[in-house]
Amino acid sequence: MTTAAPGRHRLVARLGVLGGGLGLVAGVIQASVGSRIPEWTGNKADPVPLGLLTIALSLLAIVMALWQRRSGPATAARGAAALALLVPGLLCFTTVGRLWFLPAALLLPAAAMAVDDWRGTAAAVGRNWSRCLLAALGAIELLMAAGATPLLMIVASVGGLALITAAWLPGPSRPTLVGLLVVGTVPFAVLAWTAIVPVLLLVVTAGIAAPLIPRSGPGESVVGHGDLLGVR
Amino acid sequence: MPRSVLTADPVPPTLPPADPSAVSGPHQPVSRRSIIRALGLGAATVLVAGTGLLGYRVYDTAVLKPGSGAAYDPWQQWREDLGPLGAVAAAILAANPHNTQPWIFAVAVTTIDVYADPTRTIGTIDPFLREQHVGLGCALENLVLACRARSLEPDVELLPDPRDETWVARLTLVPSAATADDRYEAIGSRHTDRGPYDTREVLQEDLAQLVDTAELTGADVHWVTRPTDVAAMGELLVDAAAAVIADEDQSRDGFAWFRGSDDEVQLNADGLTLDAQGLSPLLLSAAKLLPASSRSAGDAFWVDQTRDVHTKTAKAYGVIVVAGPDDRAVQLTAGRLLQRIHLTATSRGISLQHMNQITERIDREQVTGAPASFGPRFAEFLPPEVAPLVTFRVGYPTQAVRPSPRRALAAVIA
Repeated sequence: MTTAAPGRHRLVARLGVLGGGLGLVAGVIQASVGSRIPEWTGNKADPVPLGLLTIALSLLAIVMALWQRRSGPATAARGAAALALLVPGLLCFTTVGRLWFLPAALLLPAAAMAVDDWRGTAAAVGRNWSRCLLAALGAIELLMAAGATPLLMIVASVGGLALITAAWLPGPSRPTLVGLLVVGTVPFAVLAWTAIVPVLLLVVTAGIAAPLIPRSGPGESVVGHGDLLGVR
Repeated sequence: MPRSVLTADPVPPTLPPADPSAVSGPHQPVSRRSIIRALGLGAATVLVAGTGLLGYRVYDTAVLKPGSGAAYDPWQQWREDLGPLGAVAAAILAANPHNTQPWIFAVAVTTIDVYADPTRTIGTIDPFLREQHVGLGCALENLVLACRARSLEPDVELLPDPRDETWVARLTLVPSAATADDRYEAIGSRHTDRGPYDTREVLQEDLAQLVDTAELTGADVHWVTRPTDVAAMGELLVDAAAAVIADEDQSRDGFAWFRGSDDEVQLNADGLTLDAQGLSPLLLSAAKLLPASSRSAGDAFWVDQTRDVHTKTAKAYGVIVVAGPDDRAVQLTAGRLLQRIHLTATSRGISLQHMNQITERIDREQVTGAPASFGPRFAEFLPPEVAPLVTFRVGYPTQAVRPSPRRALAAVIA
């Protein structure tokens, strides 16, 4: 980290909070009056859930923008903060249409500036790639939740968050990790098996997460165990 | 104490990796382990990316909430308004060609006027607008039933102004006692069932009970029930479907009303959808997950379904026959009869699917000057001196039937 980094981190925080704040406003507009101003909100069929999703992602961006100031120079932490700014910055173009232009103009530079060490970040991502994939599966489940009936929306939302938690929870025990994976996939697959993809999600998750599960007794940390395929 | 993966780097980037196989530098030999690891990561990434694409299709085509959203709300709201506007809310749930919903209503205190929307046609599939007017007749029947249920007795005048071809009917409303009718109760659950029908026969007496021609003159129904005739009629329907898709204009005009994504369905609230094709839940999901259907693929699917499902499981066919198929009033009356049959069938647990490809080909051959091939073949099934207007199959359902999208009331009120 260079001596200029703290100042840059403060700027990232300001951009992230401002962009996330505007994103919150965009989400509220989409959820409340989105159908009345379709030319601004992307003419969405389901403005309410998309508005709520925008609000959630904007909150995530704000929280991570503030958190990165205190997270120190750890490369993985800064990479995670950048990702938490980047994902809403890009994804919400599809949720609130033109209303996202301004938030994105703030969040995307913030995401780029959040990274101190690009090479180190790339290496950290490579070392944690299976966790990234597991988190991506959680995000996919959240996407499916956004277009589901109320019961399935609840089940898939809980499942998606469980998978993301399983991917990044520091040192979970074997029962905790297995529990999160089961909650993250099985109920959704059972309730929505005719949709095919929930079952595929279960199978792919099992294949990717299996090497992450500690082989010894409860209480042992995931950190320190093998990455994908048990090889590091 | 476990370390957080977010706050600490297991391997500082400035130091050599703990395991040399994790990063292969220019001076390190590529080990078997690193190759296996790279292959595993690559395969896993491809799998996750594929799952992501399919997950997006699940979202985009509403696999997890078929038949829901604003485009389907009219099926839930048609009883809410107890006045003439509520009667129109029931009318827009009527059967109509390709779900074009070719109607406009003008509602006043004591009258409801029904107009044809000249912009909502199926082009070369219905060159003489016969099906359109049959669909308007279906809406008229719902309107009459819904008025009576709302204590309003309608006096129906067809084609009130010969100078205005789009003005198809005026209902003059007089307060009266509300009448209960099973057909009215069936309005919200009447859907075209394009799925397979089960093996139970529909008895002749059951078919006869579907027909009520009271107040309707000029239209009747002819049933095709003998197994040999049903089989032959099935062949004719398959041939007609094949002829429709082989006709570039008819194929294009039909596909124009297909709504492939949920966004399209919700935006247009009309047309043909995968949800209404009578597929099993698993097959419906698979169809939605595949890339959006091309016209040729959609055409081939329709012919296959006609051959392998629709005609194969049909227990009987009904044909609405009339003496003057070009008479607009007769077409409207035929539509009212068709809607009555469908509503009665629904209330008795009998499924019905409209199958008009034979008459569509008869009209097309007439327009293009092609030799008449379908007309003579169809005539073999029908009594003399009458012409076929619309055709349908009946049977008992094997699965729940999904609704088709409907435009909101505000979109059809003048």
